[in-house]
Amino acid sequence: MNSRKLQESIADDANLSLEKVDKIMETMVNVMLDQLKEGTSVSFQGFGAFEVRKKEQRLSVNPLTKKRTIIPPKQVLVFRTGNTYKDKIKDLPRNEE
Amino acid sequence: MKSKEKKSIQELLADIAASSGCDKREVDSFVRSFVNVLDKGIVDDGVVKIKGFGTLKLQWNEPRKSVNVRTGEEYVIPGHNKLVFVPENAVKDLINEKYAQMRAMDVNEENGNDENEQLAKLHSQALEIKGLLDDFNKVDKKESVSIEPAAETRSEAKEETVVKETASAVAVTTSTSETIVSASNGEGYVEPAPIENYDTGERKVPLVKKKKMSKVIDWILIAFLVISLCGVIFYIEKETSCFSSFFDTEIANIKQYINERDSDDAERKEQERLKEKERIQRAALKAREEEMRANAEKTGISDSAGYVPVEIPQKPKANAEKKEKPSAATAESADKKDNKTTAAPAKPASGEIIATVTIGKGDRLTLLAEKYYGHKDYWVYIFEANKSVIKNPDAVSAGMKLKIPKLGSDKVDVNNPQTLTKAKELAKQYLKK
Repeated sequence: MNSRKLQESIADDANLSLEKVDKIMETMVNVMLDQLKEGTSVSFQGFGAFEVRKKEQRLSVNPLTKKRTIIPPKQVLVFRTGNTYKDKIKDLPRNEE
Repeated sequence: MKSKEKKSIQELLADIAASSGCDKREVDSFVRSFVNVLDKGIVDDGVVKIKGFGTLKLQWNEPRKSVNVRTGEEYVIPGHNKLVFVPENAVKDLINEKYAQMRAMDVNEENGNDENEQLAKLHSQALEIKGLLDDFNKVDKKESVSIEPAAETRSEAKEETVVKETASAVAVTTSTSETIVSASNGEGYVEPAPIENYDTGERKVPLVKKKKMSKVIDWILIAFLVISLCGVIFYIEKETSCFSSFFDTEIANIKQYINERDSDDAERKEQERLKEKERIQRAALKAREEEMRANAEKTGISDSAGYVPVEIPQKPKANAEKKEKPSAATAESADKKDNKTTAAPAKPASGEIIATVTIGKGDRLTLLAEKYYGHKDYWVYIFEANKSVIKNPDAVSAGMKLKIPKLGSDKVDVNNPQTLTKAKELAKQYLKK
């Protein structure tokens, strides 16, 4: 499902105009990113939560050259699926893409 | 990980409503249907893309075997779907802004990353020592064979012993400051051992190691000494350079002072000499002219003209003018002479006048000098030429008529600093009066 379809579906579901959905979605994403940047996680009830995790620096070794490299720490955005939702999708039939 | 703070999307409704300019209820219903649609999309399509954020998709995990940690029983984890989120690249960068400037870094072979390498090092050192021992033993020709193999094998076999031996090695090095000496010392230790008892193979090895270590330590010590020596030298150098620079400036000052004095003297002398010369020349000229007149009366014509340039040496412009005049007419030359004698006392300014200037408001001698001679310091010559009118060179009143004399390049030459200094000197004299 691409973004356009998503918006249409939402507009349909929430009885909102497409422009409004577009606008709200954009601002929602921005607000969420602002929060996430601060390190705050944003959760959707019954669905899951977006959160930022810090990956510590580590030492990696190139298996070919045996060269050691320090990988700097970084922050990544992850989605943590809620337990109820996990259970819900767990037993879905396998989806071929 | 640290979960600093948690916020439900519901808490952000107000923010979203405010910045999107929509009603809060609208946003609320949007969020609800957002989750619903996401759910539906995931279930139906398996992928949902949110623009400007990322993609949510289902991932199928194959069934796999696992072991219960507690009981050791094997069991199968059934295949299942998992929801994964892949943020867009822009979002990734935004989130990682804090560490964005950090780059992966190569680590050099620090803290002995390969035991093999260290072993190889030790081996090479052992070989080196073996060679040394060989040299020594060639001299002595005593039981050289028994030492080497033992040394080599031992050094390769164990590294732990090295640590213990370093202590003793240090003891050895303290007694001996230079490598060569210590080496011979080590040899000295080795030598007697074999003679005394047969288990020397055991004892010699540590000694060999000691020697090796002591050698290394000696090298380090020498390097340290050299470095510290360099440091000291550098320090002293710096110190002295400070002093020397101080002295240099002092000496430079003194020199300058002396130079100035000398140059002052030289200038004065130069001037005097010039005046002297001029006087002599004038005398010579006069004599010559009289002679010429006499000659002219006698011989009648201008043969004398030929002599004049030859006889009169390379001298200032006034003379150059002179050269021409006598040949033309004696009468004129007489006039010239008169001119010169009148102008000469102050400074031989040739009587010619470039221009006559009426002083206006704000005019000064220096300005005139700048205008006619190219430098303001030559104002003295204007003053000289107009002494009758100007009482005080500092105060030139408007309406004065001044003659600007024509000056030779010996007096007015911007490119010749001597003329400038001369003018300045004259100015000093006049201003004193």
